[in-house]
Amino acid sequence: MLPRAARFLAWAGLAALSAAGGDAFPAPAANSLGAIDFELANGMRFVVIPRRGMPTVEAGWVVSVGSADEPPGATGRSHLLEHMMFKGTTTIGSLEAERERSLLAELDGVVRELEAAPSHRGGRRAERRTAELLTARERLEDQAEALADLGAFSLEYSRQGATRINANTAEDLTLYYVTVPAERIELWFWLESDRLLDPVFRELRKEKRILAEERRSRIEATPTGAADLLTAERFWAGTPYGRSTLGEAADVERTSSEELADFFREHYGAHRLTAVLVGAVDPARVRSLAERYFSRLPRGGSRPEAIPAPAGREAETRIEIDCACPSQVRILYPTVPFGHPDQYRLQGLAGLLNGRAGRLHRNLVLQEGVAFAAFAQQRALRRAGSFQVTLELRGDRSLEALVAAWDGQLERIVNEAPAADEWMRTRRRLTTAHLDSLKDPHTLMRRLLVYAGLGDWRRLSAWPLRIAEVEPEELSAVARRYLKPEARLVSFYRETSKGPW
Amino acid sequence: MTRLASTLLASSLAAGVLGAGSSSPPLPDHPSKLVFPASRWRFPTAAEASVRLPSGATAFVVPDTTLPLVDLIVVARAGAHLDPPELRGLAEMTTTLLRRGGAGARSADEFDRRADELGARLYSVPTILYGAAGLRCTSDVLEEAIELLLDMVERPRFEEDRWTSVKANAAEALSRRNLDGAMVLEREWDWLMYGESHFSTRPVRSSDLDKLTPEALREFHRRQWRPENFFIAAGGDLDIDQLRELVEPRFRAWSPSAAPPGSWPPPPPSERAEPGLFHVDAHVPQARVALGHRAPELPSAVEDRIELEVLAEILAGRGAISRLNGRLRSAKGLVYRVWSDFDPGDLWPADYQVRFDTLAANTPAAVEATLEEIWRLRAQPPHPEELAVVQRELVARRYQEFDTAEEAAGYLVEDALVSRPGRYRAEYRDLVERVTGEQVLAAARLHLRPEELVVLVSGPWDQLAGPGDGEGWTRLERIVGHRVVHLEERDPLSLEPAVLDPP
Repeated sequence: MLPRAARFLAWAGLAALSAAGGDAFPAPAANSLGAIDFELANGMRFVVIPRRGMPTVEAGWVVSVGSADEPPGATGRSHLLEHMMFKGTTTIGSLEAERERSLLAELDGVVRELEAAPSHRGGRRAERRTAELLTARERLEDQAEALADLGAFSLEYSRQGATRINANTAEDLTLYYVTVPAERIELWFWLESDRLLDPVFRELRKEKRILAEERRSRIEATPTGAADLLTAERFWAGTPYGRSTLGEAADVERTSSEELADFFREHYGAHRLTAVLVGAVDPARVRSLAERYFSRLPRGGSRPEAIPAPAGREAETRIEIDCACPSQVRILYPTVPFGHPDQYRLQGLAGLLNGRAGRLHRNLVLQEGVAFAAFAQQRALRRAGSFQVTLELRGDRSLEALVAAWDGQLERIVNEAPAADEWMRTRRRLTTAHLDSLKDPHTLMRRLLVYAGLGDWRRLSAWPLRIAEVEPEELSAVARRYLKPEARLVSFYRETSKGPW
Repeated sequence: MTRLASTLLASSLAAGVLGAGSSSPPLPDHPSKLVFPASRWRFPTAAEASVRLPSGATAFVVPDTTLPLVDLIVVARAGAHLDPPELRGLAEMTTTLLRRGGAGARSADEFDRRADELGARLYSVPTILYGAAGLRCTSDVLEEAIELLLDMVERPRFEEDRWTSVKANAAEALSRRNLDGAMVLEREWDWLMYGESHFSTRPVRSSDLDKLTPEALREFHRRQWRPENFFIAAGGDLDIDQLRELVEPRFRAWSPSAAPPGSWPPPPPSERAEPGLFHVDAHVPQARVALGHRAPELPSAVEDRIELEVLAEILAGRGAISRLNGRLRSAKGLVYRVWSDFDPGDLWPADYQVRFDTLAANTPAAVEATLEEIWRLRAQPPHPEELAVVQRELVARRYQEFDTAEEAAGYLVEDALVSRPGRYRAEYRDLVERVTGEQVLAAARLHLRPEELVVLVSGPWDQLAGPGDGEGWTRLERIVGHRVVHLEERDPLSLEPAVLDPP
C-alpha cells in the first residue's frame, strides 16, 4: 500500500504537479469518484460508482422538473406528483385492476364536473347537483379504495429489506431513491421502471390532506418557515423560484388526477431522467439490467421553456418580518446559475467567510460579539443563483448593527484580495469538507442526483479541481461584481415578544 | 389513469422494446417472481476492530481506503452526572471549550489557524453522559492533525477571552429555548418522564453560567479527561497499528489529576412518571403529540431487546409496514409523519414514545387510533408476513450503520460504553429472524402499558378545546382517561414558572 501522503496525491491526480514544484496544494482529478456512466437509446442516463464491501446499493433517479417548471395556477404539482408516484401501478397496488381503473376513471369525471360547476353560481338546482356529485365522489372513493392494496409499492421494497424509500422535490428537480440489499438490486429496476411506465394515481384526495399536514409542519409550525417563504417571494419576485416547492394550497387542492397525468407525461420522459447507483454493484450488470428494464420507457417531449431571471434591482430592498424565532437578518444578492464559472469563485468566497477560522466567526462572533452565529452560502439553481448571508443576533445589539458589521467585512473583501495563505487554508478546508461529502454512499448518491438534475453530475467530481484554480483576486472580483448594495434584499426577522408559548 | 397507462404502454410497444430485446427472456410480470441469492455480507464484530491500549484507552478502528480521509473521535466518560450540585453545566462547558480555548503551545487563535492550515476539522461536543473530541482530516496531514487533537484533550488552555465569548453565546442560547415548540415539547416530556431533579433532565440556568470559571473547567478536565477513561472510534485511511503508534506515546506520558475520576455508571432517575394528559400552549396551527411511558425494566438479555425492537417497528417503525403509519397516514391522512423511539435504555429504564404532528382539531382522532393499535398489539400476535417484513427491515436498517467506516467504529464504541454484549450486533440478523409472533405478543403485554400512558400535547388551546370533530378536548380526556393538566410557561433563563404580563 502507498504511504498516506502518496495516496492523497494519487487520488488528487496531481502527483506530477507537486513533483514539478507547483502549487503546494493539490487538486483532485476530474473523475476522482471512479464513476462509470452510460446512456440508453431513449436518452436516460446512468451513473454507477462501485464500492466493494458494502452490503447495499444506494439507488435513485432524478427527473429535471420541479416547482419552477409549474405554470401559474398549477403550483405544487411537482410535489404532489412526487407523493402520488408512491401509490403504485396497475400491477402493484390493486386487488382488481380493471374494476379499479374503471372506478377511478368515473371518479375523474365526477371531479371534473365538480370543478366546472361551483354550486354558488347556479341556484338550487346547481346546489342539488353539487350535493349529488359530492356523494358520488365519496362513494367512488370508497369503492376504489376497497380495491386498492394501500402502501403496496413501498411494501414490495420492504419485503426485500430495502430501506430509506423516499423522494424530494426542489425548484428544478425531483429525486426518488432507496437503499437496496446488494443481492436484490434487480428489484429496484423492476419497481422503478414499472412506476415510470404505468403509474396509477389512486387516493388523491387523501394525499392532499397529508400534504396539508406537511405544509403545516414545514412552514406554519416551524419557527422561521413563514419568514423564509416571504423572504424568498420578495427576493425572487417575478420568477417561479420565489414560491414554496409545496405550492399554493388552493392550487394543490384543485389539481385533478388527469392534470397530474398530463404533467407526468409532459415531464417524465426518459431523456430527462438520470439514475445513480452507488454500492456493491457490477457496472456491466447494471448496464444489462438498465437495458432490459428502462429501455421500455418512452423518450418524452422537449424541455420546458427557460425561466426569466429575477429583475435587477436599482436600490436595496429592506423588509421587516415579525417572527417567533431568534432575531436575525438574511442578506441576499442575485448571483449566477449552476455551471457558471463564477459559481466556484462565489463558493470559494463563502468558504473564506465560513468556519471557525472564517472571517464571519472570527470577526462578528468572537471579536465584535454582535452575532450568535454567522454564515454565507452560494446557492446555484438551474437558471439563477443567490448569495445569502445569515446573521443571528446576540444580546441586545440591533439588527442594523449586524448589517453594518457585515458591510464592514464586505468592504474589506471588495477592496483587498485575501492573502494567498488565507486562501490556501480555505481551499484546503473546503477540499476536506468536499471529500467528506463523498464518503457516505447515500449522501453521495443524492448529491450526484442533484448535480445531474441541475445539468451535469461531473461537476461534483471536478469541484475540487475548479476550486483549486480560483485565485485570491477573483474572490474580490466576484464580491465587487455580485455583492452590490443596490442589488440586495435585506430581510429582518424580528423576534416577537412570544414564541410558540 | 386509463389514458396515461395506455399511452405509455402503446408507445413502448410501438418502440418494440417491451420485454427488452428479442434474445432476452421476458421480464417477470411481478417482483415476487424475481429470485435473489442469499446475502453473504456479515456485520463486523467488535473483536476484530478493537484494541485495548496499555494506557487504558479502548480503541475501535474500521479501516477504509476508498478516500484519503480519516475520522477519529475520543469519547470520555465526563458527562453531566459529574457536575457538582453548585456547578451545573461544568461538564458541558469543559468539553465545549476544549476546542475553542486554545491548547498546548498554541493560543486559541493560533490553534484555529493551524487547524485551518491543515484543512482539518477539529471539534468537541458535549452530551449528557460523555464528552467527545474529534477530528476529520485528509490522510496526508494525519500526524499533524492528531497532534492537535491530542493537545486539545490533554492540554487545553481554557483562555479567558474565549470563555467569555462561549459564555455569552451559551446565555444567548438559553434565552432562545422557548422559541422552538419542538424544544419545549422535548423538555416537558423529559420532565414528565424523569422529573426535574435527575442530572439528565436538570437544565442549566443563566445563573449557573455565572458560577463557572476557567479554573473550575481546568480542574474538571484534569480529573475526568484521562486515557483510562477514553474510548476511541476511528474510521477511514488508517489501521489499528497506525493509531496505536500515533496516540499511545502521548497517552502513556499523560499526567492526570491525582484525584480519581468520577464513578461510573451514573445514578438512575429516582422519580417515576405519572400517567395523565398534559397540555403546553403553542400558537401554531398544528398539534405536536408525544405519547408513551417509562420502560418497565432494562432488558435482561439481548433477546429481550431484540423482541422489543421488532415490536416497536411493527407499531411505529420507519418502514412501510408500520401500523401507525398505515393507520394515521395511509388510511386516514391525519399525519404527514409518525415515528417512535422504543429504546429501553442501557443504564436505567428509558422511555417509550410515539410522536406525530397533526391538525389541532384532529388530535383526539389520532390519539384514539394510536391507542387502538396499542391494544391490538397486546391482544394478538402479528401476522407471519407482517413479522417477516419487519424482520427484514430491521436487519437492513442495521446495514446502514456500516455505511461509512467511522459510523461503524462509532457504533462499536457506543456498545462498549454501555457494556452492550458484542453479539447484539454480531448476531443481529439471526437474533431478529428467530423472533416469533408469540414472543412479540408477550413483549407487547410486558412493555406496552396503556394504564401508564402519558399524553403530552403542544398546540393552540382554542383549537384543541374547540368543536373540532365534535367534542374537542373533552373527547381526548375521555380517550386518555384523565383530566387535562395545563403545564406552566417557563421563564427561558431560569426555567422557573414565568411571571406573565397582565392582559
